[in-house]
Amino acid sequence: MKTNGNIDYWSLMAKYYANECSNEEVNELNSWISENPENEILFYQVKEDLENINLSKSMKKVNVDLAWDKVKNRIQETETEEPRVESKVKIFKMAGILKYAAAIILLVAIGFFSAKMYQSYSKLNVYAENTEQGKVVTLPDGSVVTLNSDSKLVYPKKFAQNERRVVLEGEAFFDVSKNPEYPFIIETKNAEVKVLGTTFNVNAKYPGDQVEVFVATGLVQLSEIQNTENKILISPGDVGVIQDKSISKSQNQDLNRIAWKTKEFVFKETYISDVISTLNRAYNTSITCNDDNILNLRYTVTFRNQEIESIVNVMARTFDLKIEQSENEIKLVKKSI
Amino acid sequence: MNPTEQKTLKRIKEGDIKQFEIVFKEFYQSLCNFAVKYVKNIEQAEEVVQDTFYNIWKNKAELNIITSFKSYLYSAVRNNCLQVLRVRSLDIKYENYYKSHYNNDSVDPVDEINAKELSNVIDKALSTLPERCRIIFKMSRDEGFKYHEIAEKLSISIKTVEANMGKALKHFRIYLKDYAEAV
Repeated sequence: MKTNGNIDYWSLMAKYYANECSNEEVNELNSWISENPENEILFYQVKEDLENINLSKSMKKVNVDLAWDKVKNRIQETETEEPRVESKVKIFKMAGILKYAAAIILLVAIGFFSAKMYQSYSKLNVYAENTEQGKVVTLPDGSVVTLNSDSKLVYPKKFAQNERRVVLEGEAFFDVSKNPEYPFIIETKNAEVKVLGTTFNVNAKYPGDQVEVFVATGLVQLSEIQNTENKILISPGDVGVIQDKSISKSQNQDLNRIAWKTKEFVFKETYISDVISTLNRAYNTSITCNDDNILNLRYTVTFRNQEIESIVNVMARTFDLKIEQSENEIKLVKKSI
Repeated sequence: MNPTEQKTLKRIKEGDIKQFEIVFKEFYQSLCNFAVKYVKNIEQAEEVVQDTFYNIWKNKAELNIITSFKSYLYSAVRNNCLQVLRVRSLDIKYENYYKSHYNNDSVDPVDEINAKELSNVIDKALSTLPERCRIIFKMSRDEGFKYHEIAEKLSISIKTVEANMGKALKHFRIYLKDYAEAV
């Protein structure tokens, strides 16, 4: 280390910052630092240099496209809201759009509720449960949540100073009052959903520990609950999926993703088997069919705000089927000749 | 402002978001690099730059650029960074320090930044390091190899690794000295 009586302090500092120094070398470095203030300054400057080198590496990871999506979404959010004060006709039109703004669907494991939900359910919290459909809950901040069947929500009587946090299991449509400084966060089994937009829909009805988030407009951040650094931003039209620690997103292909809430169904060349499962999910019914000849038929139709009975009747007439209705089940069978 | 920029500005003022996107994507990365110099954290830097663009769009009707997009954007980002620092620093002395050092709105920042963006400086320092020195430095800092592992892989002595690491630090110090003084 010594050359002509002078310590090679550059190598020694490098060694120190690389955690390679022996105790003896640390002492050597210490005495060099205390020798004069300039040495000390240099020691810290080198530290800063190394930090700057790391910073420069992280800067190369800047994602320009993602950043633009963020800004564009902010712009669109403010621009879609402006017309609300301009004319009544526009307000009416906007209501339809806003209903789907930032629509989210979450699918989480049922088991989650017992542990986490009861833990959060204290005197300070309110617990809302719905066994039927369309129960509407108004949160302390004025946000409105529509709960689907078999869905549960825990929220505080009064939200915290810095955020609005709720715990959900099941499916719900959220109409969140906008306040960018006061983020709205939904906790689920292994996911945390941070809403950066205004309104959205949440579904947590399905078993398994997969969480799915669908956004119609607005912007939503989906992250692992244990590690919120593991996150993605989901833009309009995309579905984010989190399973274990992996998060991905893709374009939404399911036209009926929030049909449970809107009662608007669009089927295009859809197999009857898929039509039935979509309807069962939306109406919490048990429509069954055991006949493969029927299940493999394809159906193109649109239903708007109809009772499930009338939908099933239309299907039966279209395909010339017979309805066998019992207490808990609607069964579709071939008409006997 | 050159005629192309004038045309772009006119379109943006009329609400052409495609044009705005082009400008955003052209300057975003370098503005982040610029902002990080002030706020010292890439997330915050991105936030500042995004806010700047968002506010420009929001007030696009009143947008008036005389010099150039580049100059305008850098000034706006710098002012916003200073705002962040002001909020961040509760210490009056600190605030005064920043005021006296940075708060000179009349200076066009573009001239002083071109050669002084952090990653430019570091890239330049890296590229001027002797090759072996650079390889050793990267193996240690980027890939996390221990000195003895580097020595083994490159068939050199540990002493050589130590000497080269010291050499690299000294080299960076020379380049970064100018950078730090420019801030």
